[in-house]
Amino acid sequence: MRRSSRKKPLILVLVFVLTATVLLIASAKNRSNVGFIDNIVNFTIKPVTTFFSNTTASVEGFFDYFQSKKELVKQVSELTYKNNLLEQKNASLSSLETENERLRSLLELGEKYPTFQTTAASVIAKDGGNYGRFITIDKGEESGILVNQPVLSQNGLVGLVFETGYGWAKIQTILDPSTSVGCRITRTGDVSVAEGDNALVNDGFLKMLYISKQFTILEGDIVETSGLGEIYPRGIPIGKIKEIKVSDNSTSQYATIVPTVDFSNLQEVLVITAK
Amino acid sequence: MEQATWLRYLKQSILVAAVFLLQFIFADKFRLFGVAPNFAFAFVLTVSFLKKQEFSFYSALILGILTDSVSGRLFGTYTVLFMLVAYGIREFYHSAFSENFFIESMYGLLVCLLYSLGYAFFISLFRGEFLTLLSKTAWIEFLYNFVIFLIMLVIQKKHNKKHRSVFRL
Repeated sequence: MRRSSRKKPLILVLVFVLTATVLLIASAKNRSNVGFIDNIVNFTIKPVTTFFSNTTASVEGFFDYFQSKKELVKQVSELTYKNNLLEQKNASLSSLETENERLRSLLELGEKYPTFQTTAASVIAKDGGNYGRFITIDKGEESGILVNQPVLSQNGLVGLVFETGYGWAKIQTILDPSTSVGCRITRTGDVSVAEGDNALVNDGFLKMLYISKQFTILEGDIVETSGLGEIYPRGIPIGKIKEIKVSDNSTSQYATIVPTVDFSNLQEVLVITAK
Repeated sequence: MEQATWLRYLKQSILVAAVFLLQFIFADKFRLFGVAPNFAFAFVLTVSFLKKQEFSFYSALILGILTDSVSGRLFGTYTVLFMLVAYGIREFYHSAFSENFFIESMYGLLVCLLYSLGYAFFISLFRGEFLTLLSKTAWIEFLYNFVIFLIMLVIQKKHNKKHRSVFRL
């Protein structure tokens, strides 16, 4: 009797571990094989993550205000209750202003790419992992968002739609080490490939590969999408060349790219739903 | 069911939800050298040292599924790892030792190390570059997770010392 009750957790753990392993193998072939679970989970957690990511943005604006006024706050420590009330009102106004600016930038974002049919969406979760760079947005297939559609921000290329469901879509950012983008140097027109890299992902940089020694590439050169391949349209800014290095075989060079998009503060994106 | 049991379940559910939010909304803000801690893993590890082990199993399962759904390309890795951590502590710690902060910390250190090494090795099966993953990510992640685990363990010990009845985890 005692032995069977001791074995019960082991059996349960084995069942769950085996099920998860089967799902792991299925997702390794194609993530959409486990789309039904992703759909249930993401649809269920969406209201909570949306609420908290919006609150976080407001709270950040609120604290930014106080940080910049730190000295002032020290000086007004002797102020009356009335003054404190005014301070609080000011802070909430500042927070509203930040929100207003964010919404305006979202509008401008759509106007920036008038030739494409786009859908604006807000970032509601970031995977927070160390081996990949994915984000989740609050719109999905009901808004015409499909797998492999390009995603932009007001500053440039963010990535592509990796998975989508009702009311959510997962975006694989260009920083993810398993992604690559056809790119060109704006100044010279030289074409190459930019990709996420295991060694650079934690610094938030990309690697530009296959740079022939004939290329006259310079630090500070702007890199944009080449339009080669079927996913990304031409001319979307990717980043700036930070550093150029010679490969181990010394026949070609590679470069480090600093993306134009600030991924740590990404709040709104634009999905190109039709080109 | 008794009111006390309900209260405990409610509290545990709120804790799991809070850890999930911490991981997927705030973890990005805690990046150190570009590496974020895994709050979900540290939490599962901490609660695995509790005497009431069913909580560690269900938090491992729920946080594993949630983490797998929100992150990355592969589904199931976190669920498997978290379940194995919870089960491993049950088998190799609780069967051999009674509650002791020092031994729990040492066990935690070992599990954090194995987790970071194991995960980096697993990822390297797909992408290669194990040494790069180790030097750029895994060792920082190991230390970071261990620090978060220690903080959680101290909080849990203090909490359980203070609340001996209904609010004890």
